[in-house]
Amino acid sequence: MARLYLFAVGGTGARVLKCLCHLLAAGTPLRDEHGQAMDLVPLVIDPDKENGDTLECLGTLADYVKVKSQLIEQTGGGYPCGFFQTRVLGYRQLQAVAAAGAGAPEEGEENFRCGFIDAAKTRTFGEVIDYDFLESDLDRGEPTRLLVDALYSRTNIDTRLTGGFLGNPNVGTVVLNQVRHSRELKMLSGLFNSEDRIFLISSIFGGTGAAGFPVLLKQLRQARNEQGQEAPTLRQATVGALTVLPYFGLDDDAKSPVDANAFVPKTKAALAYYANHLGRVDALYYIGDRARKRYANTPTGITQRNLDHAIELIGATAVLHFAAQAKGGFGTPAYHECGVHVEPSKPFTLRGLGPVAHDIEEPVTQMAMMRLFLRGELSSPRSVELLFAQPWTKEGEFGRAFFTPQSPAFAPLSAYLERWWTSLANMARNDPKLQLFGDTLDVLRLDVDARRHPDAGDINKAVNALNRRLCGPPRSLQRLLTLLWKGTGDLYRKRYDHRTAVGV
Amino acid sequence: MPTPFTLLSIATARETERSGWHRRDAGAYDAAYANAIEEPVATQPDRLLAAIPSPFGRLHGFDVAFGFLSEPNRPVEGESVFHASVSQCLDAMELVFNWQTHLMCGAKLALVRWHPSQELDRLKKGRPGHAVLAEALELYFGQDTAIGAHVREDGLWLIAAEEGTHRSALVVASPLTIAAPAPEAAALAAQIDLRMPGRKYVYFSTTVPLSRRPPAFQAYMRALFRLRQGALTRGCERMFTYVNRVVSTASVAQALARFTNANYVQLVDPSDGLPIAVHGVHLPTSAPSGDVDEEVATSPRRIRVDRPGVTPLPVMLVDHVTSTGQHDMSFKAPASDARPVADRVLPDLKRRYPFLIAADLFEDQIIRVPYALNTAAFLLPAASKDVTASFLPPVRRAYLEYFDETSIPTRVRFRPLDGAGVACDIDVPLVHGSVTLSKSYYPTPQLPSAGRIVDADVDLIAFPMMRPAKMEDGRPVAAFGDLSAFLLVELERSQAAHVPWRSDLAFYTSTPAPDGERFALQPIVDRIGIQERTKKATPSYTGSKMFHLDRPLPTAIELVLTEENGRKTRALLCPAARPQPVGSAAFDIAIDFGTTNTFIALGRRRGDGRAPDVLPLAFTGGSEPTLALHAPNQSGQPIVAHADKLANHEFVPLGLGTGRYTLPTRTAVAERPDGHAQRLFADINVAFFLQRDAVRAGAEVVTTHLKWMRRAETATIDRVRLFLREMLHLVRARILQQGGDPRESTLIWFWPLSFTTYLRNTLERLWREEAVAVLGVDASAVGSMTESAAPFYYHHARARLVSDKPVLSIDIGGGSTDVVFFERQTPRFGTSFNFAGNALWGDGFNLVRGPSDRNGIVDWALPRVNDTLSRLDSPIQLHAREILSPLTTSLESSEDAVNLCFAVDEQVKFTQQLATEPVIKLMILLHFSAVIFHCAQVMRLRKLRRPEILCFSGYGSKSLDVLDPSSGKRHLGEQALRLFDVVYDHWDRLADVAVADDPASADAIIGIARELPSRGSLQILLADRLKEATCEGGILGAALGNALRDTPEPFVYLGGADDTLYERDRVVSYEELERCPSIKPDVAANFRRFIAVFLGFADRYEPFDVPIGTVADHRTRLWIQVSETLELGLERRLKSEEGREERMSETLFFYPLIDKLFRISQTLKP
Repeated sequence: MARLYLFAVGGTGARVLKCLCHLLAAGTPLRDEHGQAMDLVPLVIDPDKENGDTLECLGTLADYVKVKSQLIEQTGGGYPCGFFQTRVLGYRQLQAVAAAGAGAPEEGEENFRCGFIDAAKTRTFGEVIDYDFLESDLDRGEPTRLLVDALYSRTNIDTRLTGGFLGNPNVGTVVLNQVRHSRELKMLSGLFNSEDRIFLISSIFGGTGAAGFPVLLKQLRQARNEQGQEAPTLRQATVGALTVLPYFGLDDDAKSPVDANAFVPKTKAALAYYANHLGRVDALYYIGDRARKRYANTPTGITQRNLDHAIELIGATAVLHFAAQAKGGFGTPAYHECGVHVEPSKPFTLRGLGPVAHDIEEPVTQMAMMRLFLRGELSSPRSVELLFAQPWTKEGEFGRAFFTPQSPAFAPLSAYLERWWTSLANMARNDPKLQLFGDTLDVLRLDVDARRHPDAGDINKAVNALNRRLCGPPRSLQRLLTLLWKGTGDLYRKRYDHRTAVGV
Repeated sequence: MPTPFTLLSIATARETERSGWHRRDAGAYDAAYANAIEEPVATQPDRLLAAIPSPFGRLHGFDVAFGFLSEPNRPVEGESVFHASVSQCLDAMELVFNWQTHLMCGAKLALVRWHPSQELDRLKKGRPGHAVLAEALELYFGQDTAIGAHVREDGLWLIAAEEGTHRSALVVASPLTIAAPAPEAAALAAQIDLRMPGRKYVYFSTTVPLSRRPPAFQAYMRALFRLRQGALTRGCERMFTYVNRVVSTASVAQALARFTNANYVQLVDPSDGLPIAVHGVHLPTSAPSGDVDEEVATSPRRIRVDRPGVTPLPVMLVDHVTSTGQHDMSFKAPASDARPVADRVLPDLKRRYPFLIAADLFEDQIIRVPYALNTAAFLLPAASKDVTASFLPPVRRAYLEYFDETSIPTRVRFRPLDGAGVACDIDVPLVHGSVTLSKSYYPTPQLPSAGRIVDADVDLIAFPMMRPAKMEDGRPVAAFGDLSAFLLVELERSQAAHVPWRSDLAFYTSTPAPDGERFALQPIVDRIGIQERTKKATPSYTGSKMFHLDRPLPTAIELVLTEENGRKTRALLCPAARPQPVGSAAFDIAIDFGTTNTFIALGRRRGDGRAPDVLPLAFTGGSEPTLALHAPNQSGQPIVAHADKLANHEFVPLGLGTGRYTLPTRTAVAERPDGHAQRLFADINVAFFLQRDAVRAGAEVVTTHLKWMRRAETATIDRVRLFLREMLHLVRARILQQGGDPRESTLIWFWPLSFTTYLRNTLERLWREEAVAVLGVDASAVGSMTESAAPFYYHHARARLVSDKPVLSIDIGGGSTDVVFFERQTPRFGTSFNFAGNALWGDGFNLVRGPSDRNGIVDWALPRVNDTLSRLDSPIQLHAREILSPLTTSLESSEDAVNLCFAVDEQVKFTQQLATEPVIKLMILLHFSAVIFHCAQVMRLRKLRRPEILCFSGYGSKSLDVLDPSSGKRHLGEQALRLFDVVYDHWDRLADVAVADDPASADAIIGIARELPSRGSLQILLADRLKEATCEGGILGAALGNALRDTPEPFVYLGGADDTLYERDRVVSYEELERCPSIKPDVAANFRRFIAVFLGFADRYEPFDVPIGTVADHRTRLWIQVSETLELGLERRLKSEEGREERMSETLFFYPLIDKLFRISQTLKP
């Protein structure tokens, strides 16, 4: 199976990756140009160790992997399920699998993260480059120190890297260049196959992402293996990238090192630079928005955790789009942008994305139905009684213990569903005009037109109908997800799908 | 109609016909896309310049900014971050453009080269962090073709600001924009106040489009690309496009036309001398510009100068007024600027243009002296009326570069300040109006801007304070024989000896500026002599230092005080004397360089042929050539008293000719004790003070007896030369004061007939050399006359003598008596002998001088003088005692002692007292009679007519007043006639009378003489100014036209037989005298015959109040031991002659009498 090596650089990269993860969790498939499923090998690059966005992304990935690998794959096959269908792999996992892995497999949990991380949280850029020890020989004119002074401001030199690059990509390029020495990058030349692809996600107006993208690209194009030899396969890799242009603003804060007013000029400058100096990229996706939501100005750290934004979700679809494109169709290179349908005075829905929405709307709606169904059934003693009165719970031997929060089988799913729901609900809250799922979610929330929208009874009915057709171990999460995937799918197609119904 | 979709984009135009992800037909989001994005304002360039993900992102940032502003629809001017960035980059280019100007202006800028291979290697081998940096740079050199290739080829150069040993980056080379500013450039430029030449703002502080920059710079940018197309144009394409867009060729056509290589110099790496390049193109910079902004060139703040040739006029900078005269409370004039005025850079415009600040005109400290100042002698600020102390002008020399020194009294003022301070104000005239600069001084200043008052007990005396100048083309130029001498006096308040000097002088002269040329004040460093005259270790603790310049009076004298810590304080003293054109009047100068006294007379020649008006050399009130820094009548101050004293003793006395120090003066010099008489004033000077002040024991050495120097006495010759030189400088000053031209002068000097040839020749040489050097005359203008002849002309003029009468002129000096006989105004003969005042008042032939052996007159006189003194008023007594103090403090010769008494004759009535003592009068009568007798004998032998008139002159003739106070000296005339009668009418008889050692052998002659009848009196003319007679007579005689050539025929009558009358050049030598044994006995006999005649007339001496008994008392003393005393005299004479082979220069007749007179004086001792 081909792999998509994805590099999410900086905060925006992490947020888009998280959205991609949510789409994949809901069952949106990651397919290659031949329609074959691809594995996703994500890597988050961010020196800001405690960046809230990055941590959220990493948590999402970890939960995804947990649900997928521990509760679905380990329980054995037999239940075709759309939810969490894409494999998300880590480098450590790949290294363990690879026969000729580079060095001993690392201990510990997969964390999907690499790059320079200042664990001590103390180092400044000046300390990273040993600025204070640059030549002080006046006879020689202190040329290098003067050069650094000519290229970097005092603020740059004094920037603490624990907070990322604070909108200074010129600093980031030097620091992130050290990613080349990371185990993951060193492994890549050995892991990468010709059918694999690489995708980079970054913003252009920030610090880490803006710096990391061209650095990574240059590193990939100059890739060498661990023996120091050129890695031609990797160097010739099909590389796509999403460059996120400004789509949010920040509250004015004179004390903050980040000035949202500079987003656009910086973007303009960087775009002008990219045009001539970026290096070869096969497909470049641009996304941004003029109607920019303003966030609190918390440029670094764990408090930098802005509400999820539809742009990030839409940006994530670029990954799916890139993966599915025929390799020969990129041209040199292919530049993409995204159009949406927006009707004045009407809420914007995912259907406004056009064909892209087709691959998203159904699984996401199913995921939403599942989440609301389970949440609703477990919300009161009466509903619980009703749930356990259903044939599918009885026949499937799902006992009360299965659905408890402490249940090792159900708890990860429940947690992920809440993370997923929060993320998507936040997008809607972020922009009141945005309706991600049209009227679907409203129906599921049972607060609108009861005539069209399925209720718990409808779902139970559909699931009961399916249950008898399933063969496999009872009391498993896989069985539950399959029941709900198919049941919600049938309901979606029956009630909402405006396209030709697709059979399960 | 298809449904319109909206692009998720930040561009303004977002309509699209496609939904979802789709390929963008226009390709990448490039500069054109970016250019279409509206950006908010108020973004700092630094944000932008950090946005590009490259270590060289900053360089790209500027490039990108140029790209945006290159768009045709973009406004050239604006406040966007791109406008600001482009402006900063242009500032960097202007810094390159103005590189030479900034260096010339003293900006601490350095050019540093960064060599990639060398530096990257060093970094990789360095610390881990350096390797991180190196890897990033290397990555981008490899991938960033716009940067990497050119950096590898040219390296990168940087412009750094230097602060001590630290350098800070200002500008870095950029392959994209040629140059780019460093991030901290703006702050750094503000910190070091690096301003655009000709403009007011600091680099990198203001957004200015290229179109509003100086045309020369616009042209530079255009020309840079125009002349160096190719690599540079391609590499810096966006900048090139911007420049082409903003600067049209037409707008800078004029400046472009001036673009030649001569306008530019290459930027060069100082480490290897190689040109700095961008894209392989050597980068030019503007040659230092002399362009002056019109705004400055017409500034009303330019000073209005007095001096010629000051172009451009410097701007006067003061706080709150800019270079161009704008009131700006934020403008602050520099407190100091070490650069020459011409090299300065206006702080507000950063344009090289001369300017002055207060510190240029004010000294940091001010000198205060404890006396009122002489505003007549020096150009000083007007003094306060109540002056116990004065401030010297704290004006720097720079003032004189622009303003005439005569403006000091009107433009410089002092104001008292509270706290014992003083403020000095200087009014500086401007092109429009004026500005008053002020500086405060306090004993202990509290504010940094205030100066300290430095007290100094120092005084200055100068000679001659006049500025003679020849006029050439209507301008005064230096004259001739120029000398300026300055006596610096310092009173050390400390009682410790050997305190080092604190004060010093420096001199500055102005070069006469031809039309259009710049006035220049230059230090005098050559032809200057400095000598500590009185060491400060002497008991007075007062030191004097002599400064001698062989050039005219300097324009300015700088008094420099150096404190123990080395700190110096200066005061500018400008002599008030204005250039004084040399007049055309001609003067005859006569100088009687006498044995005892010297006298000078000046005769202003008339144009009508009449005799000149002859006047003694004297400086009337207001014309004294010696002037002091202290005002007259300031003697209450110790330093002034010391200065006055030193001026009188070591220099030309203050008030010479108007007060205590007048001519004639004693022929004497004063020297510093440990020196050699080589430099006038520095080593030696005329001792005007002698017989007027006490000699300062240990501080000076006085030498008299200059005239009769011997061949081997070279030191004496030097003394005489310098004595004559000082006298001639006085003469020169006086002639110039009186509108005369010293070069038109004639100089007459006088010599006694008894001078040896050596002496005469030596003095003649000295006179000529000094007169030529000091007066500028030809050697032919220097003539001489015998001391014998000159008085005749004096009397001739004064007494209206009938010219045909035979006249015997007798000049009795201090050491010699000179006699000339005139008949029909023609000198017929002359003779001279060393029998003058010294014979009366001297020590005879005594070689040992001491109280017990001195002339008895001294011992007789001292108690009487003291007694008289004691009855005098205090001030007069004090002065007289001071003059007479040598009598008690040192061993003066008897002659000098008597001269001291004559010096206070007015106070102690010395002459009157002498007249009361018959013995003294007897001595004088003997002296007079012997002179007449000897003259009569010579004339008889020369077969000349007897004189009808006897003219007396010379200081030695003063004694005649003691003897005969009658008008016309009738009694003396009778005595003279008696003696002539004896010699002319009776000598044949008397000469046959034998005389022997036995006093009784005199009786025969005594008897004959006693019987001779008295038949009248010879007319005697005694010069009313005894000493002056020689000089005046010399001038008058010269005016008659024959005196100089009609030197009287000199004769020497040894005094024996008739055949001992010789023409001067045929006199026997001392050796020959020994071979003629009859001469000395004959002389002795002749002498005894004279004594006998004198005794024979004794009963006729009653008019002289010389009792016959007194004469009788000394008869034996006069008669005996004549031969012995003759021998003694010969021996003494021989000592002063050059050798025994020398011809005898005088008669032997007086030798016995010299001893007799001394011995008679001994009888006066108590």
